[in-house]
This record gives sequence, C-alpha cells and structure tokens, in this order.
Amino acid sequence: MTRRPLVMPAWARVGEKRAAHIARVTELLDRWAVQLRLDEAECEAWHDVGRLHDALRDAPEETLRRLAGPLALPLDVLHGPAAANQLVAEGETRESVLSAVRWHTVGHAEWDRTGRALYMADFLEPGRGFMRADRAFLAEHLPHDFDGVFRQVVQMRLEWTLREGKALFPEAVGLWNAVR
Amino acid sequence: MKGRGRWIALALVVLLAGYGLWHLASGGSAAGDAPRRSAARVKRIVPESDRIRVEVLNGTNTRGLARLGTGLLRDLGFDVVSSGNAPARVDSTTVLVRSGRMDWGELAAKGLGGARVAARPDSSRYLDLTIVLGPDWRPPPEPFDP
Repeated sequence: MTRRPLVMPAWARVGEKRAAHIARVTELLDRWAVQLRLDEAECEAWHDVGRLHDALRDAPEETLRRLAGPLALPLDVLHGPAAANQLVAEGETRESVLSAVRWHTVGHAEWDRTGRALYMADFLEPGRGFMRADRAFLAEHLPHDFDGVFRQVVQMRLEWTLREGKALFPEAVGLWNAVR
Repeated sequence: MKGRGRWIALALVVLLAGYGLWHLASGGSAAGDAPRRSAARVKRIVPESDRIRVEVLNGTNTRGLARLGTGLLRDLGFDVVSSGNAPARVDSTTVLVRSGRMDWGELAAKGLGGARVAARPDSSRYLDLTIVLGPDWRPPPEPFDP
C-alpha cells in the first residue's frame, strides 16, 4: 500500500508532535480502509477525518472559542467543534466527516463508520506509550470485528476518563448506552 | 580572607542554582516529593526467546487494577494468559513463582517497580508466575489527549 501524502489545510495549527500523531492516525485509517475494502468515497472520508481531526489542536484559546461558537465545553475538547465549523465555512458538506471531527474527543451515538473509525484510530495509533501490546492487538483485529473492537475502545476510553477524574459528557454516555 | 570567603560563597550559590535548574529541566522532583513514574514509553524487559506465562490478580478494592497491570506486563513482554480478582485482599504486591524460575519472578518484580517474590511451585496451573497486585502498586501514567 502506498502512503498518501498528508496535506494539511492552511488554517491548521499543529506543532511537530501533533503533526506526527495526525500522520499516524491517518495512516492507520488508510490501512483499515484498504483492509475493509471500502469504496472510494468512504476511503476519502476516513483519510480526511484523520488529517483534519486535530488540525486546530494547538490553536490559541481565543481562536478555538471564536470558531467553536457558544458551546459550554472545556478548552481541551473545543478543537473538534472548532475544526468542524471551519470546515463548514470552507464548504464541507459530508455530514459524517463533520460529525466525526466535531465529536472525536468525546464520542457520539449517532456516528456512522467514519466517526467510529476515527475514534478508534485516535486511541489505537501506535505512538501512544501505554498498553501498546493490547492496543496493537485491537488495531490489527479491527478489520475482522469492527463493532467488537469499537465497543472495547469505547469502554477503555471511558475507563480512562473516569480514572483520570475527568468529566463525562452526555454524548459519551449516549455512545456507551448505544454499544454496551 | 574575608574577600575569598565571599567568592567561595558566591561560587556555591551559582553551583546550587545551576544544579537546581538542571534538576528541574531533567524532570526531577523537589525534595520530599513522592517519586514520580516516568510517562516514557515502557520497554520490553523479557528476552524475545523467553515466554513467561503470567496470571494477574487484583488484590485490592480498586476496580480495574488487574487490567492496568495486564497492559503494563504485556508491554514489558510477559505473556499474560489470565487476569481477575484475587480471592482475598493483600497488603502488598506479590509475585508467586510457580515454575521454579525465581529469576523470572525477580524480573516481573522489577518491571512492576518493586514487589515481594516468593516460591509457590504449582505445575497444575500451566503458569510461570501469579502476580497479586496490592495497594502499593501504582499503574504507569496513561497520557492521552484526544
């Protein structure tokens, strides 16, 4: 499989480490898309959510709040809605892409495969330093059991959220209730 | 003599300040702080040629500890074949050596950041080690910022 060049939009604000993470997530999504034999449109959507999901991850708070609009969300989850709104302003109309990018930090019960794939790739990409063996296994296993791996990842991410004492968003709870 | 003493004191201050800056830059903890586990990537410590079959048991009331221990031990190269809750709570983390390889027990203890190692031979379990995680075990950090 040839690796596609990663083209970031001009408005992206990412540091070197973040760019490397984006590249790994996108590469994983591209690989799964081939293994799952997705059609061209879905392959493109998976690639795009990979390269765009953290495009504003390192943007200043003022920019994020301006782009995200009147959302009562903490700073560390604003980059998703901000990037989605920026994409809308640029003419993006694929609802699955917008929803995947908008909610990738918390999850969403209404997602199609694109949102679910991004949510998994963001967690399973090989650059993260914890539970490498288990996460690598899940990443390999995904093409054989998309829904099973998704459920497992939702559980692991929610457990992490609780362990860290972070807030659980209604969208995350809704997602768990949809897959449990 | 007085002037010389002043210069020595100044040199000491500069040295101490330099050490302090280096210590902070290298991620050192302030005196009196509890030692921090590094967020660095866990490296495999089990030789590729060895297969060490491990059972991980949670000996505390903290939910999810066996799963975290399993994740860490697999990253260290141990073959965790089962995990669950210990039949009783324990005071400290213990590695029970089932197959006679005490060096494997010591290796697991080292990977966990310290644990008691004891011989409890039992060939019926098809295990090399039983690891009972106690309240003294601290899981490694899981830096995740989606």
